[in-house]
Amino acid sequence: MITEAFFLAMAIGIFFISGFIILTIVDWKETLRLSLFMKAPISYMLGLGAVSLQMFLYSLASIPFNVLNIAAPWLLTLAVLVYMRPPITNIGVRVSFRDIGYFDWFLILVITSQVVYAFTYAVLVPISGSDAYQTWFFKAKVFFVDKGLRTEFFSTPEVHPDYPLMVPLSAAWIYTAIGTANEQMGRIIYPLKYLSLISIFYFISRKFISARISLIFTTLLSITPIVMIHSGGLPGTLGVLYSGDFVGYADLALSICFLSGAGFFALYTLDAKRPYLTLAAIFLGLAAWTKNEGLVSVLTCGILIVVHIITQRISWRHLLSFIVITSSVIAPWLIYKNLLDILGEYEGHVGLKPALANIGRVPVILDYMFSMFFRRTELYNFTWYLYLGTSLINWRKSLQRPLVYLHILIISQISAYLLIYLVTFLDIQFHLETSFDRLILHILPLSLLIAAINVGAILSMDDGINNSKIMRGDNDQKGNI
Amino acid sequence: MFLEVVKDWAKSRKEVITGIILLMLWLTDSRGMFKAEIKAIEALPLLLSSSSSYDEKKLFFDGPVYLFALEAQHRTPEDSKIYLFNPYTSGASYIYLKTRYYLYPRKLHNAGGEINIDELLKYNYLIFVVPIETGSEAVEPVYRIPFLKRVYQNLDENGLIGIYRVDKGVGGR
Repeated sequence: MITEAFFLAMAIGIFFISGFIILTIVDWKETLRLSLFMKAPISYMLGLGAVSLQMFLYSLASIPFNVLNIAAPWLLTLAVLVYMRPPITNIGVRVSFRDIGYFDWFLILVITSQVVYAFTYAVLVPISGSDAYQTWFFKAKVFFVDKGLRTEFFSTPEVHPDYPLMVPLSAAWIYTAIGTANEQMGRIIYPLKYLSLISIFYFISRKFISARISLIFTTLLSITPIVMIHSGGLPGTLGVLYSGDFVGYADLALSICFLSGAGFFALYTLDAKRPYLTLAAIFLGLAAWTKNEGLVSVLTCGILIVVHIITQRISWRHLLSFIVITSSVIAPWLIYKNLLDILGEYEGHVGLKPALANIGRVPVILDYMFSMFFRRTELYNFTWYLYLGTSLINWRKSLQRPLVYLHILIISQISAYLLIYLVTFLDIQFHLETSFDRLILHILPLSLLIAAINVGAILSMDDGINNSKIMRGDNDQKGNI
Repeated sequence: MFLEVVKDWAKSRKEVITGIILLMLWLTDSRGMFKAEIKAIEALPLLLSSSSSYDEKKLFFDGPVYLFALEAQHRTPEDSKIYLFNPYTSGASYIYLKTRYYLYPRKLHNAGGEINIDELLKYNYLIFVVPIETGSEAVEPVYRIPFLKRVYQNLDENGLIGIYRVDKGVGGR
């Protein structure tokens, strides 16, 4: 048990180290001036992507999965990096406790209680969600047992061979490190994702709005039930869901990648710092490496960059770097799928013809979507009311960058889901009931971020986004919280 | 200077009031989640106790299917090909997915509620689990196949579990 715990800690450490290496390379000159509190959650998410991609490439090169093969390159790179790089100057975070009021402490207490709960419950129970058994953790077990990816495995349609592999391979790394397919230990990835989600949310929103509004919205995100259902799990059922525990699914990871990609892209459109664009490209690439739905955000963001380049007269090299980075994350898997002739679930179904043939479904789909967005507050709370309401009040700024870009990213994602439901060959009611609750999670953190920015702008007496700290070039870590 | 202080104070008040309103809304509507969390916390002593082993937790969450999969795991080699006779129609998919998960790397074929002899002969084992309410007559077809040799069978309150070896030398084609 102690040995397993040691190797579990080491496996998690490798996620952080690999992500930290990538983040250091991306922001070599530390132009983003990220504190260690900000670097850690970003590094963790980048690390999940880096290690899973590494394992995927190992499989292509027939290098078996083992601790040494996977960990050694990162540890060596870290050693080289420490040797090469000047001492990190901005490692700390300046916290002035005097600026934290009773209300802020209460919010911090609420967030902390949720984090503690997620970590405690997630690792004390095994997985129970059906998709975890059927797909994500089943693949993790298969890749761990096989010490790699066998091409025959992808010939069975029932294992969803077209689904990207970030989640199963990162869980397979935990199994490889501890030497057994212990789900409870594999589940540790999820509360860590939860912590990353709320940290990244706080720090991105902090770039736009005051510390207190950021903290308020981070608290709201942390107590939104659907987020906890996917992060730590709940005993019993909740709302219309058949289970309260969806730990082991890929939707939480996608929502974090989508939030981070969109958030860093929004920051890039404000101050044109290239590392923000690089991070946006990596995170959106990772969204597509997590679930196929992530491809929509990559495509939409690519179009938005073109628009941004034209309207702001920026170099086209920015678009090129976005394409190169996202492609290097997504391309290996897409090429592999293509070579193995792995067909997507909807391949051959997506198109104008099947969509038009099922146009009669639109009222059913919209009715269901509306009902989930606005009537299932026990799962999503008042996120969509807040998103719509504040966007309407703040409509002028909603039509300006960066908010307009963020709205487009959300609308394109919802439109893609609508299209999928139009062309699905499954019974539409069944398909909606078994998937839409999770699709909403993908866009929930970003919607809440937009609502937070709106509230910040509405409450500001004399400023909004265009007059915010970031536009004054004053976007460093402030002394408070 | 004074005006700035007043502005900051007013802004801070607005933020706190907005925060309290939003938080009240969220906390009220998340009460289902908090109730579930409290339930989980109440179960903590049990989850943390030494008597609550990994197997017991699995049994609690997965029920008899876990016991069945464990039994099959112990009684079949890892390289075996297994034919899952799955006559329990309402939960057949659940049984198959769970069993496939636990038995990997064994190759598992979900045969559903009918046995195809030609297909069966391609496998080393036939296994089944039927809940007590389904009734043991659901597995009658298994008993009529001469080349199936019983490795393990058990009937208890969890249902009927069977593991049979396909003995291709006996009556096999």
